[in-house]
Amino acid sequence: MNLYDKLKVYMGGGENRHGLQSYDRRTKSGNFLGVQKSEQIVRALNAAPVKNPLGEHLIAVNSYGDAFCHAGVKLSGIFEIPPEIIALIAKDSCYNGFNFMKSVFIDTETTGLAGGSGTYAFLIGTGYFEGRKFKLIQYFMRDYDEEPAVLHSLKSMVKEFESVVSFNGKAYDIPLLATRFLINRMENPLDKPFHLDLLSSARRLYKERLASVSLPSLEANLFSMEREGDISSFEIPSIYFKFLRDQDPNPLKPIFYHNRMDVLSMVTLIIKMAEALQNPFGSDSCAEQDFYCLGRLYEDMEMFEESIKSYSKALEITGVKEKAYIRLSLLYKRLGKWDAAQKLWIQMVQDNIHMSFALVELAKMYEHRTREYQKAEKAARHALELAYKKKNLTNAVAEQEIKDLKKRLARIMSKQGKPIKNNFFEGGNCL
Amino acid sequence: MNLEQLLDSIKTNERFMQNVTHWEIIPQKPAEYEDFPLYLNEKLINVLKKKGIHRLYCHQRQALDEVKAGHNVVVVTPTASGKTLCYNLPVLNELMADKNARAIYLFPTKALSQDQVSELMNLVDAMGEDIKTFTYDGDTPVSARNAIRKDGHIVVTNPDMLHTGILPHHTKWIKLFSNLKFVIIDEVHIYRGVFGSHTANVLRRLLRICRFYGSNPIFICSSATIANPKELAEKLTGQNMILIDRNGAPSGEKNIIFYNPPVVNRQLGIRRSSILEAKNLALIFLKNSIQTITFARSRLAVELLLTYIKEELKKSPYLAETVRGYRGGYLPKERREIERGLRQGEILGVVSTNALELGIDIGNLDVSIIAGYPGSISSTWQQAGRAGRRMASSVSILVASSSPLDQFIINHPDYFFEASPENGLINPDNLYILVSHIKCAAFELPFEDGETFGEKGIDEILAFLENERILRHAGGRWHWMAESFPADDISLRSATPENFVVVDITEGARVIGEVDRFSAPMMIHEEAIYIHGSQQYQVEKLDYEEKKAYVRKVDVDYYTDANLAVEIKVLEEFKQDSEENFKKHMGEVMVTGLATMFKKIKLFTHENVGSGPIHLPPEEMHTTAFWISIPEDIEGLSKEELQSGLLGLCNVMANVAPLYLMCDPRDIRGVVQIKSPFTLKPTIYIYDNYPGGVGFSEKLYDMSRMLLKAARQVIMECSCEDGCPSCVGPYQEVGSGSKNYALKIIKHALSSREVV
Repeated sequence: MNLYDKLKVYMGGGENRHGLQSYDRRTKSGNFLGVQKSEQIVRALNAAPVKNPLGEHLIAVNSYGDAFCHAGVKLSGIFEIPPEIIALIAKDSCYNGFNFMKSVFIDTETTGLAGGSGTYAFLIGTGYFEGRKFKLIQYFMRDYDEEPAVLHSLKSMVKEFESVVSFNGKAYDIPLLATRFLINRMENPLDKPFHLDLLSSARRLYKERLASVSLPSLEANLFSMEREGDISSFEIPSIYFKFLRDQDPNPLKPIFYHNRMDVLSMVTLIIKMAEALQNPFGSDSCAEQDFYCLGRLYEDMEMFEESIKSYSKALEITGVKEKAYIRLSLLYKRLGKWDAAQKLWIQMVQDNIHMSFALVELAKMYEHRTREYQKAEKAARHALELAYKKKNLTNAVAEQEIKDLKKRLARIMSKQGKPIKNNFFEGGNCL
Repeated sequence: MNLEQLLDSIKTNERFMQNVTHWEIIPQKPAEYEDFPLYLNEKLINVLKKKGIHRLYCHQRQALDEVKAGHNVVVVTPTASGKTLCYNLPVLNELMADKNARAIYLFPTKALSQDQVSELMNLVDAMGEDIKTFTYDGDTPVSARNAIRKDGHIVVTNPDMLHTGILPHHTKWIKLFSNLKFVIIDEVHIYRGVFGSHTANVLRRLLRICRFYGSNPIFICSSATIANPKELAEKLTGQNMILIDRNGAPSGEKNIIFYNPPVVNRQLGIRRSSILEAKNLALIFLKNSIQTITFARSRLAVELLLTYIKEELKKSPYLAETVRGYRGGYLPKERREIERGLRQGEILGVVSTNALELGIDIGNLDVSIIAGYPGSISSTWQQAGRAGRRMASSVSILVASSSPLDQFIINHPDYFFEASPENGLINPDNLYILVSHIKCAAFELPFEDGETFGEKGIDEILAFLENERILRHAGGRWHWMAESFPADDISLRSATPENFVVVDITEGARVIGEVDRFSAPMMIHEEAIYIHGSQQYQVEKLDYEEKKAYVRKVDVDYYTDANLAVEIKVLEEFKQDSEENFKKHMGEVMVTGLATMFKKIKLFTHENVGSGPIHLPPEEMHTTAFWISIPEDIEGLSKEELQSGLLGLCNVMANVAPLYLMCDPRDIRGVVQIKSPFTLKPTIYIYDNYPGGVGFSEKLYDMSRMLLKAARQVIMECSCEDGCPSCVGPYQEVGSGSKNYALKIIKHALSSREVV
């Protein structure tokens, strides 16, 4: 047996499952059949071949005018967004001067989802504004040997821009492209000072209300948009591999479409988020659990008034109510608004919302701020009783909590000059 | 009594000396020093001086000089000879001169790397240098990984992590690969067989990536004593090596005693159990508070020995508590505690499998007792080396079992002391292994047309993988064309990476240990007695799918031992030839192992007191085999007699072959077919006990006549009447008369055809 036959036998499989159908590479250059095939591909994908010093690849260009709407939103609306709102979307005040005229939107389609140096970006979609027109350019490699040419074109295109906009690009697309440039021994042009990753922004705003913050879920829930003839991400690599073998471009069409939709939806998403942030309480673009998220965002950006307003709304909303009570009361405490904080904690005790937390906060306040030791003692005892109950009921490990509370209680007692009896607060019989 | 006094008393004890077949005294050896070289950083010298090191041993100095000259080295030294300085000094010296330089330290196991890293960190801290050493393995938190990739000067890892975690993500490690000056490979002798063949390919991939980033690291390897350290290191790394084997460290006088337990049943050729003898010997030393390590061949034997020793020390509870067991399957925390106890002298005795043969730091003990020949000369030296003080005397006692190999060694001490130790054999071009790593390599960087991997061109394999739709050839390069991540599917250690966990459900549920998949059907089948820390547990339920065995504490007077039925099928014959009156063959086979039943064996007396069935799925393996077929009509042998003789001959051959192959007995296995479906004749197979094979069968094919003659000698020299475990095997297994029938078969096979 020669090596090849042996491999067939011992590695299992071996027979070419499609027999002679396998595409013969030689047809790509030269002969008539090849030319015909290549024209067919160009036509089907509505693309054109491009030559550069590193070779040839395909490029598909689409242009969307001033009035073009994606999911009912005018793309050029992006220029109406005030700078401070962009900073809020990015949760970073450095993005105050972010200029969408100088940003390139990027989304890649790849040969695998696992990452690592053997994953290629075979289709790279980019979008940018030219005046008020949005231009969407897709770079496509018809085979692996066109990768250097694709990267070369991408590089010369993105070098004009000062920032990148992506959806999950920080973790996925941009590092993957960095690897591609490195492996092709080219400088990485995507290492820009600003990178607005909309996945983080969307997650910050919508994670409480929406079960998923993937782009299709955002489209469906925020823009009431449904994609037609779209394809799910996990099918994409195998479709591309099939194309490499049979050169039939038609199954690729949905991938090109998917990629364009991804880029366009990024623009719409920004505008939608901006709407929500510009007028959170007056429009319907913020709803329900979003107010809790909004509260967090404002708090992180030190916009306390807005944060208090958002949390206050969230106090009424199921699902985030409990969290909102905690955050808001702590925010009041941080801002020294003790009366407001106390009111919330008392409310929490009454309504049984994170009661132990509220009791401990009350005990702390009475002990250290108002020096009302009796009230402090009462709150601490109550909290201790709860801890014991929790221990008995659920067998949960409440040891540390009990230890801390005992310490606190002992201290409060001694401040009142009361003697501390042995076992005076053991078991559940302390009240 | 102290050790010297004990030795004197033993020497005059006739009952003991009757069983001693050899007493070798290796005289003490003074140190051989050399000065620090001039190019060694002043700071480094100062730190060493503070640690009391004022000069280097000659092998340390030689390693420094060779590495300085740009040569790859492999340093062969016994345990506790300061081998870590052989690589730490050149590395630190270079890193201090060039802050961009980087090094990778490869250790075969995690436990080893922990010891070595703490030693390295001590040196670095004492110098106050900014040299960052990080361990990067499966336990490294994700949050720390980024910093390690960028800033780690020394990255400590293992081949598995290099394979799945580092190489496939090489673009995240630009700094490391662009500036890689050194690759340290500790314990090179461990990289034998499948693991070594895999690791050699991982290193081919590493070097391929280094070439891409323009670095060309020097390899510094260390090895225990084996026959071919230079060859093994060269095959493993694909680089030329300078061998450094002049050990400059001092050692005290060493006594190596060969001890053959007395015969208790001459007719059956049965000797007193090596485990019981080892127990008695260990007790002599333990009762005198002399630190003693006892090695046993299997996990089961470790637990038995431990139980017996503790039982006898019951009268002095303090002593009983200072004797511990140590083997694979104990959880890491428990192992660390035992290692520390041994170093600090709090633990007086330990009973271990070969797990403690490796360079795990347990300090040096006074006595090592080896219950049963460990199977290879180099393992024996390693285990004997655990006893050895720099100044004082030490003792190692090898206690032979009844197995033919043990009996051969114990009765031919000159063979042991004069023969070179085993070869570390690897076969990086094992087709299974090679193809696996070509996939991984193509994932990492596309192959260029005509590129080599190792020494060979691989165009044919690349074309095959393209046909399999795993690669795509475009523009003169071979690109990865699959969604999967190839390294995830390939384990460097074995065909099956998953372990079974053992859960104690006596009170609540607690994980007490692990068992590898291949041993699981034998060790943790339902009703098995699983022994851990000399506590017996009975397996109540084995969840094969979930890989969990649920056990409960029991106290019974037996242990269990499982039978493995092996079937073999020839897939392809690579070559065959006719010898005198037999045919020899070599080729590819499929071996199926099935645990069929277990026996209950009474403690101490080792009687068979019951049995039960095992219902578990079989394990399959593709490998290479050597087989001989003989005529079915041998004069004077009935079919039953032929079968019995064949079984006996197979046992002897599989047992003697390791001596000629210089391999571990576990590396090969034998099996017989009275009428092979392939040769249609009575056939004896000896196969490589590794998927894909590592080259043993091929060697056996070339020495088939020698092997038969050696088998004949072993059988004829054996003093038993009618076959015994020391030659053809126990009669329950091979039937009576096997000895005689086996000799007839050999005689017939070796008689020339013209005469017949």
